[in-house]
Amino acid sequence: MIDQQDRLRAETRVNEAIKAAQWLWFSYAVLVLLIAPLILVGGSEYELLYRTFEAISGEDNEYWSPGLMALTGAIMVTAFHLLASKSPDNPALLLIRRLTPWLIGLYLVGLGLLTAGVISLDASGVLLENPTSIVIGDLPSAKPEAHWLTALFENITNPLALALFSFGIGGIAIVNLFVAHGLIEGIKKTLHKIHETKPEAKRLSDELKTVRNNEAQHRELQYDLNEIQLWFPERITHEAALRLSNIITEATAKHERFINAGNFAPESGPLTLRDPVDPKLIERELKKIKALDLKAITKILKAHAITNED
Amino acid sequence: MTISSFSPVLDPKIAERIADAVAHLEVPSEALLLQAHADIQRQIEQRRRNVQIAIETAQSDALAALAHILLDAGDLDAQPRKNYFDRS
Repeated sequence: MIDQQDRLRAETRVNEAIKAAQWLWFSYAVLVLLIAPLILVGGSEYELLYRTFEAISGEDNEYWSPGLMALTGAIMVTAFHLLASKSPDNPALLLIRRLTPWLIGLYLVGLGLLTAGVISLDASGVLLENPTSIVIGDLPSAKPEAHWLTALFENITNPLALALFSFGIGGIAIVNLFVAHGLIEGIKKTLHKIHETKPEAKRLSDELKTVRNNEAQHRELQYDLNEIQLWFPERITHEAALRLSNIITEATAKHERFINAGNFAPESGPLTLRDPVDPKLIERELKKIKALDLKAITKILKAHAITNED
Repeated sequence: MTISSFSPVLDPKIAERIADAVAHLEVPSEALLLQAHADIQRQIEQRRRNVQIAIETAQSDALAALAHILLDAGDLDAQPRKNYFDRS
């Protein structure tokens, strides 16, 4: 009835669904692992904007408060996510996506150069002499030695590191949008999975039960159909004749009982003891009826069947 | 319910008419006998059709359930996919 390969695939699918339901705890763990970095990203975005607007607005500006402006980060994260969900091909989104790898590279190169600068200063003893000399945005104030390596760091590497790192830090605000969107998408998918897995597994299990029940029913019915095919015309005629013969035999038996008991009329019907009749007449009539035995009935039915075929 | 337990029965009304005729010492008419025969044939044919319909129903229900499993099943991967964060 059903292709065995399809059946096997369905069973595999249902087993996968049941297994997925059993592994639901994993989805909860994934959810936690996605929410935690999202909070971190949101916090860093807030802090970056807060510090920036704090520096811009000063202390007296009561409208453009750093806290309020920092919350625009959340608006941007939400806006980016909504835009990406509804129109993934939007030029602004494509720009951010293309910029992100460059900004990451910029940040990492800047950080690398800055680290190299710090190490070189430390190694040359300048840092030990003036530990507060490395501040983002400030150039080292110590006068370089005449050594070419120190000159290289102070004149080229360190300014370049500061420039790249500053751009990188600025770019983090953009990268945060990208990362937050990815995390929100992951959270949405995981929540959807948590919400859908168990009902889906149950639905598929029920469907498989339906398949199995119907298969069993189909086998039984096929057996029944084979059985009913055995009711070929001759058998039907024979069975009908047998039942008719039995009815007639039972009905005549009542008359015979009364005749044998010396009565002259049957116990029921229009002939009663108040209307005595000739027993011979009854016997004669009974004989006619009894002539309609199994063989005679079969002959009549068969004759009709032949007539029908004609 | 299976056909193996199925056996056609003589229509009680026809059986009563035959018994009634015999009680009146009359030979049951051929028409009555043929009517009984036709009724039994009708019962068997009706049963055959019912079984045939039941077979087709069972088959279509099984195929529909199978299609729901194979075609409508949602994403039930136990593990996150490799492209979990792919938005395309």
